[in-house]
Amino acid sequence: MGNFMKAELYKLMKSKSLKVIALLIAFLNITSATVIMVYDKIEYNGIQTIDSIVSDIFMYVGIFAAIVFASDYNDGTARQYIYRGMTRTSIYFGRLFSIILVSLIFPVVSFVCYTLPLTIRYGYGDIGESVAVYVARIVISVIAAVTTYVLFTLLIAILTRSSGISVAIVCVCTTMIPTILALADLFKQTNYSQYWLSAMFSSFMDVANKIELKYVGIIAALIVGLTTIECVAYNKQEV
Amino acid sequence: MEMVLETKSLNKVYGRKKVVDDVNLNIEKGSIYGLIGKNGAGKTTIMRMIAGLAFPTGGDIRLFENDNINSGRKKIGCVIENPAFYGNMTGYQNLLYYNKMMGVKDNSNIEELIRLVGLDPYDKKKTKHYSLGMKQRLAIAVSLVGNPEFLILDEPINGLDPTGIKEIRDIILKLKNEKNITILISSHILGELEKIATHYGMINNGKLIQEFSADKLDTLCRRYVEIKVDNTQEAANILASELNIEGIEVIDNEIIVPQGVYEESLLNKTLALKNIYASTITIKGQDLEDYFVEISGGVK
Repeated sequence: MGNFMKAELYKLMKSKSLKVIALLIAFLNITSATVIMVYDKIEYNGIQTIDSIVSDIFMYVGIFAAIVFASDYNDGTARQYIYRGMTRTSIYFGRLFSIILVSLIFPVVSFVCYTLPLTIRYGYGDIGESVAVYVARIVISVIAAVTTYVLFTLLIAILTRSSGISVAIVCVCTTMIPTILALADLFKQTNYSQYWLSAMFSSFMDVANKIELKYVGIIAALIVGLTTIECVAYNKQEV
Repeated sequence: MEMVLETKSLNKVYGRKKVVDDVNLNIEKGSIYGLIGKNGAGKTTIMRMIAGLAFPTGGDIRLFENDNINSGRKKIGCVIENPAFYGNMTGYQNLLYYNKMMGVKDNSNIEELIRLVGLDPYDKKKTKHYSLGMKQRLAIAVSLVGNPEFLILDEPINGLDPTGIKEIRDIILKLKNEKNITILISSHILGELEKIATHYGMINNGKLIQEFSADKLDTLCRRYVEIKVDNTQEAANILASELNIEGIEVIDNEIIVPQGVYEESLLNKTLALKNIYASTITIKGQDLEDYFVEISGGVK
């Protein structure tokens, strides 16, 4: 699987979608940071904007994962892995880990283009715990968020086997579901929004919050469940 | 003889349709095995099952006389259905990707493979801009990464012009002759297949209806050599005595030499040495296409 991951990383780093999405994230974040600094509207420390690096990238990670995973079905390159005598389980995990690793570029771009300039401008503030613990919390949260977003997208890509349909579903889900949940909360006096993926990860990133075990449980169950379903589906799939 | 591929009662059912029906294929090492069949006969499905892309409904596949099929697949290369590449990479980069995947440390093979298939290793063109012929060639180069011992080529000359067809044919023959690679190839252009295949398997409605070697093709196609000379009886006697040919027939001013196993040049030389000059020497009978149409019950 090591050789396969090396090959996948080589391919992903050369993909046009990685460059385009990273540039788009950089552009949008630099624009937002500039607007905030120009109008001087921020009411808290710059570091507190860090939750945006997990909440705002869901759609971008999803689009990237959908394109790079499902396009192999579209252009027939998915066949090439299987000819070579690798087990489908190795192929699935090799591709999953490679996409997760490369997708981590997106929160880094978001941090560098948004949180970092705002932190420099508006200060670090009190994070309420040791820097090492805080950094570990952020890093683990980001990795867990990217892993979950990628797994969510791969399920769609494996089921639809089409990059176009997968991208469309990811876009609809990442924009419509939080809106529907927010409307339900507004009109039904519920609190469903807190269980949406990006909301749970934002809460992990917010220094003012304690990490809630129920969210950790939901995320862990999602990661294990999605991985199992996808691995079984990929193993049973004819390419 | 060492077997590269054996299938036993291979079956594939999609819904209620049996697309592959009890197929027993046997491919010997070093052979070029031409798989012949109409569209939808089951050729590609058989290849897909051998390559692991589709799962057999029943039956067994053995590669290199080994029951561990995944270990056998490490020694095969495939071009099944359309050539598939990463369009935003060059040919060289695509091969580099597969080198990394196969754990090949020395990348000098890339240039060699690209040259072998007649492409330019320094071409900066992205593969999405390649012509179909270039794609077919690159697909063969990709399939050769990792030095496979068995190549599966599904319609490798589809859509190529005559020059491209000849070049691919030459590459296939080179691979067999120089690298002793066993090749399973399907093609609708039976005339082309006839020029390279050493063995044939004919598939009709998912069933393997016949499997035979190229040597038997002349007999199966009832081929004969027709020689036109002035002195037919004398010429027939000379051929019978000098070349020990049995079953020569004389019809009017023509001599019929059965089965076409004798080179026309040899027949001509034998007669010329006795001062008998043939006005025409022609091979008659069915070709592979005629024979396939006849036994598959189709209408040409």
